[in-house]
Amino acid sequence: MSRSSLLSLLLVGSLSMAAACGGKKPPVTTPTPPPPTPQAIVSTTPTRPPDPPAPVPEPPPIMVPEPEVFSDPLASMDTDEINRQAPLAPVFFGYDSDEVDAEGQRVLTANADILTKYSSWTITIEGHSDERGTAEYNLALGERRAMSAMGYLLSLGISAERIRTVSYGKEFPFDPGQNEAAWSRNRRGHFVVTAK
Amino acid sequence: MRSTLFCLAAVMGSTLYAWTPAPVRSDAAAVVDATSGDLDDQQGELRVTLDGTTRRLPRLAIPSFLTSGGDATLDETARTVADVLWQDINFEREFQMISQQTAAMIPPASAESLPYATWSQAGADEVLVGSVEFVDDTVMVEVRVMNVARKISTFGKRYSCSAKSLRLCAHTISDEVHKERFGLDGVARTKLAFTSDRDGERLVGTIEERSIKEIYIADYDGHGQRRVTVRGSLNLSPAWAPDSRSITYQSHKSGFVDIYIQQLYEIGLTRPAHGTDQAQNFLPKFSPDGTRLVFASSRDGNWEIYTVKVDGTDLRRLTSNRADDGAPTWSPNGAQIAFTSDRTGSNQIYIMSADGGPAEKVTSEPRKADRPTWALDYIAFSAEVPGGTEIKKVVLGTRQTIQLTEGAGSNESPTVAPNGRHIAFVTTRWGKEQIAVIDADGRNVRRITTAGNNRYPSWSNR
Repeated sequence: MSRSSLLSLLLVGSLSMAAACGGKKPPVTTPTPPPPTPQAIVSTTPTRPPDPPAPVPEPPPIMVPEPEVFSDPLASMDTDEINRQAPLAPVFFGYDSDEVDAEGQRVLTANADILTKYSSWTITIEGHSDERGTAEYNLALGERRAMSAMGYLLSLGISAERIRTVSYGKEFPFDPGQNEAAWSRNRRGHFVVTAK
Repeated sequence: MRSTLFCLAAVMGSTLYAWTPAPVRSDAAAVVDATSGDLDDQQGELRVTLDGTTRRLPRLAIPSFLTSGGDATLDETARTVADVLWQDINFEREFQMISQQTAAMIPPASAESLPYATWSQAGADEVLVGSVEFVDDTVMVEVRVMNVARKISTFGKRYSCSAKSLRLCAHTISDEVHKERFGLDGVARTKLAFTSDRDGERLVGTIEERSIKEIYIADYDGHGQRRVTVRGSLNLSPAWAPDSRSITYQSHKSGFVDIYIQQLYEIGLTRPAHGTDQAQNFLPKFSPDGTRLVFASSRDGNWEIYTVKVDGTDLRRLTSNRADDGAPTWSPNGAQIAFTSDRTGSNQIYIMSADGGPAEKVTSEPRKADRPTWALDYIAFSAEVPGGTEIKKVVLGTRQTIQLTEGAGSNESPTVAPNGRHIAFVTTRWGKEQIAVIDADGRNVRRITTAGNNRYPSWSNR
């Protein structure tokens, strides 16, 4: 998945959510000076003839500053709203493992991109485990998972000052089920935006 | 369990009221017939005691306590003290208790006029005779233990109790009877602390549905449960100070994990490990002399064991390796520390000097071991088994490992009573996670909690 399609996904999601919420602050409805490609895709969506996003000719090199000045749903939200959107996807772990696998690396890379874009955000990475194993051990395992996710973000150039970690062990399962599907959802590094 | 108890008390009560003065002898004969299952063997059966020996235990009866004046409140008071005392003494397994139903069939009498022959026929070796009266605002309880064969008193004391703490009154009597008769430190006045989400309050400031977890305390038998923290956060793994007047625990209150010491009977909350988001601290335990805490911290990269004085000075790092070292606890004499480490692969229990230095592995579990808790001659721990966790103990002298729970839900986080004879732990055998108590030989499961999910029990030292 390319970075641009990820971004567009993100923005579409934000838009529809904002619309569904009755829009405290009507975002991006008025077409405005053509922003770089990803934005252009978005502004056409309301009338959406299902045109597949025209293959981006080439990733425009570093045209970052402009879209941020321009109205950006995430930029206008407070942290609670941002966290409801969950723009930073969780990274999942194998049983009793704190290793970031290939899929996890992909997720963390995408998260790093978002953190680069929203460079003022600070985040907490929560380490969670499934219910198996003892409570005390899982506190340590959760800590290792959070640290492991943080380590990967640091390797991608995100500043350590922006990241906190905390372990919740098996105290806060996301899915109360007692099966592998639930357990695999509960073994995660969960991202929370704590300041912007 | 509780309801059985109440039924029993009710039966006992009705038997009492239904009782009509009849020739003592014939009545006693009826007793023996009616309860022959209990009393067929006048020699008494051999019982394994909690000190590990097998012997015939003295059979003790506790007839209804004497009251004067027919005051309903006084009768109720007397009944409460006698019932709780029966439970307390039964708990330590030093006496073979004669049921209250049986005892109720023999008319209560003072120590001076005790019908020894009748009690002998009922199989009693000893009879605990109590009397209760109100003197101003206090409840005066007099207790004597009479030896049936020798017709002498082996224990006698008067207690001045508060009407508001009748259970404590009975607990005190029980502990003193055990101390004087057997030199045994009973645990009837000890308490349990644990974490619970029973109040269903939601954690503030998170998007997900998350319940707060607060610290609760209860008497050793589960009575008098009350919440002692109001922190609106995740508060885990309480541990008692040796004087039982404060607890230490870990809390997520600050957004990261730090350890706290909280006074229970006055205002006082400190953070001796000075945690930050870069130096998080977990699973604290007081040293037996109350001067230091041992805890795990990730401040140097991964979980290591540290101690610090309770005033926050003199931080010492005890372990240093790439493995996670966690769940530390002191030996009863404070000279050593047991902890978990995955330095050889899977989590196992190790012991080392309280100053650090080389550690010795004391478990060889096929899966993981966790949460050591150190009694005088053994360490109890959680052991992962296929499909869950069970409570085990490793005897320090022989290194023999004994499994104490099996197959009834998942069982973890043991904590040992100060006399080493009982273990509280978390079990899922009744559905949600509840605190239960078993004897150190794995017998006599008793349920302590019923509401919410309960974890991380800690048994007080006194």
